[in-house]
Formats: sequence, structure tokens, C-alpha cells
Amino acid sequence: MLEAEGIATVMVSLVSSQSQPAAPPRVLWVPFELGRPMGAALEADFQREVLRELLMLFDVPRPPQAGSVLAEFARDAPAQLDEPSWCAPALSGATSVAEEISLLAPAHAQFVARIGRSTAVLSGLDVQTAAEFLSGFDAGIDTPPSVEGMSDLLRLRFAVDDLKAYYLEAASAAREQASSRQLHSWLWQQTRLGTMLKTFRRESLESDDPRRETVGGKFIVPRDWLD
Amino acid sequence: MVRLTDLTTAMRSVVASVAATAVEPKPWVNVRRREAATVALISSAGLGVRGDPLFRGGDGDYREIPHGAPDADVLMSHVSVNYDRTAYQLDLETVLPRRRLAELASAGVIGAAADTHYSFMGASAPEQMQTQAQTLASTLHARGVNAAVLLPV
Repeated sequence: MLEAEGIATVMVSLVSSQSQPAAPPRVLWVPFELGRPMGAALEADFQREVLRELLMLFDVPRPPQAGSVLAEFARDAPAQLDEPSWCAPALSGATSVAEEISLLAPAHAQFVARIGRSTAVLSGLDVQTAAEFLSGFDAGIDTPPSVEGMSDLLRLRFAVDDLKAYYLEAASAAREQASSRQLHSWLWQQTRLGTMLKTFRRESLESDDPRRETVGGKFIVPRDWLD
Repeated sequence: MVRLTDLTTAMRSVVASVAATAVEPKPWVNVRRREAATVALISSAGLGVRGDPLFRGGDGDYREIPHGAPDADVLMSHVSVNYDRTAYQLDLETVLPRRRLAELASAGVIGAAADTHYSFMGASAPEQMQTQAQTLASTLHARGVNAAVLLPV
């Protein structure tokens, strides 16, 4: 659409089956995980290489028959494989999500000190309040004061995003960078939060409220980690 | 692209089910001198600056992200849970490479990085974004941007 309005474009494609029919003018196919168009975190040289190859596509003349410029980035991204030295946070003594959150607090603080930010900030709730909101949602208890223009269900979605981010950030605190598979396997299969969220999803699918069914059924648990 | 063989069976079916829209006719804009181009980043990761409205789902509009906005103030409120966010959590450059773009401008690969970058929320119908894309194009022209890097998640 932008090209039609006079702006030259280059595009990263993470999924060729989606980009090919649209036939954008210039495409760089990359062999990276969904969510990682630049390949890997904290790898400036690699990211720069990807971006440079993208920008160089502006030099390629338009192919005959109004085709697309298609190129493929040949290297796999670093840190896609499991990291053998990574250890999951120790949560075996926790009997509740609240206890898990407390146990993760030092690691999360370490993450913020190292990285300089947390992404667990969408709902405006601290993570303990977010967890109480989630657990009391169906009973209508522990509901935080409403935010103008935001339904409780939408706010809950953001609260869940914050909880997941908090856990994953804590698990990413160490310099040994776990793979996304290691991190999600831990979250969804070894934490009480993962269990709680999967239960919430199951209950949402049985709800008479179509919005609850949609939000809870589709926007909480990734398909890869459904039971 | 992510290799379909690297995806789980569940995600392979999700990816295959997403219909892509063919665009006719196929437009093309020449970049006469890449080394002089002013380039903006346009993401579909549902990014916005703290204080701006979060994306809710089905949004066709976009958010502006100043080139110099602190990483801590750039938030992702994309509705999909079916892609990995752990790299973004570690490093915003993974999805919005503002510093990388500036470095390549300093190296002479492009003329300049734009002062402002942009984000849509990709899990929206293309028809919803079309009018907004036209508005964005006008804005880019007005701001002297002549090329864009499109970044999915």
C-alpha cells in the first residue's frame, strides 16, 4: 500500500506462504522464529547484517514482468538452540502464584538491572495485583478500580500479558540466554501461573459470554502450549 | 522465513490458515540513491509509546514512535500470543531496530534514519489498515521520508 503511495519499501518475511501471494516489491526471507524479525536479541552485529541486507535490496532493479525482488538471508540466528547451562528459576516450594511471584522477584530485579526495562507494564497493575485480579475474575473479587474506556476483560488480557512477561523476564535474568523453547516450556509446564492460565482458558471456552470465550480462548495460551 | 518444518504441528496449521491478499497492480518506486534515502521503520508488532492508547485487537490504526524514545517507554500490546516475545523482552531492537538503522546511516548505507517510526498491530484485516496506510504515506512524504523497512512479528 505504501509503495502505491510513492514510498519505496523493503520487507522482512518470516512466513513465505503469507508474503508470496501479496508479492511485495522487495522481500528478504529470513529463517528466524516468529517474533524475531532481526533474528536475535542483544546481537548487534547480526541485527546490523540483517538490516544491511534488507536495505541493499533498494539497489536491485525491478525484475521483468513487474515481479518482486526476492532474497533469502542465508544464516540462522544465534541463540535459537537450547542453552545447556541455563537453569530454570527454582519454584518448587511455591504453593500459589503469589508465592511464585515473590520467589521470582530477585531474578526479575536482576533482569531489570541488566536490561534496563521491564515490559510487564501494560495493565498498570503490579504483578501481585494482576494475579489477584486473574484468580478472582470470575467471582468478581479483587477487581482493581476501572480504567476509563477499558473493559475489565481487556484489562485482564493486559494483566495476563504482564504476568507472563514478568515470569519470562525473571527466567531470562542470567547471562546464559535460554532458547524460547526452554523459557516457554518452563512457564507453561512447570509453573502454577501456567496451570492457572490453561484452566482460565478452558473455563473461558465454556463461557456463555462470547467476549470471554474469545479473549480467554484465543489470547491467553499459545497454541504450542495447549494441553 | 521461519521454516515450516521448525514449527509445531499446531502452529503450522495456524500459519497455513492465514490468507494473504494479492495486490494488483503491483506498484514499484525506484530508489535512485540508497545512500541519500531517509528511511523509517514500520512494524506490525503492536508497538506504541507509553501513554498512547494500547492496541485492543482489530485495530487498523498505527502509533508513532520517536526515534529517540527510551526503550522502556516503547510497549508492545499485540493481541496474538502465537509468537515469541522473549527476544523483544530482552532487546527492543529485535523488533524495532532504531539504533541499528542509525548505525547504518552513520556508515553511509543510507542517508538518514527517520525522526519517527511507526507501528500497526498486524492481527487486523488489511482493509482496516488501508486508509491509515494512505494517511501514513502522506505523513512520510511530509516528513521527508522516501523509503521504509516493513517489519513483521
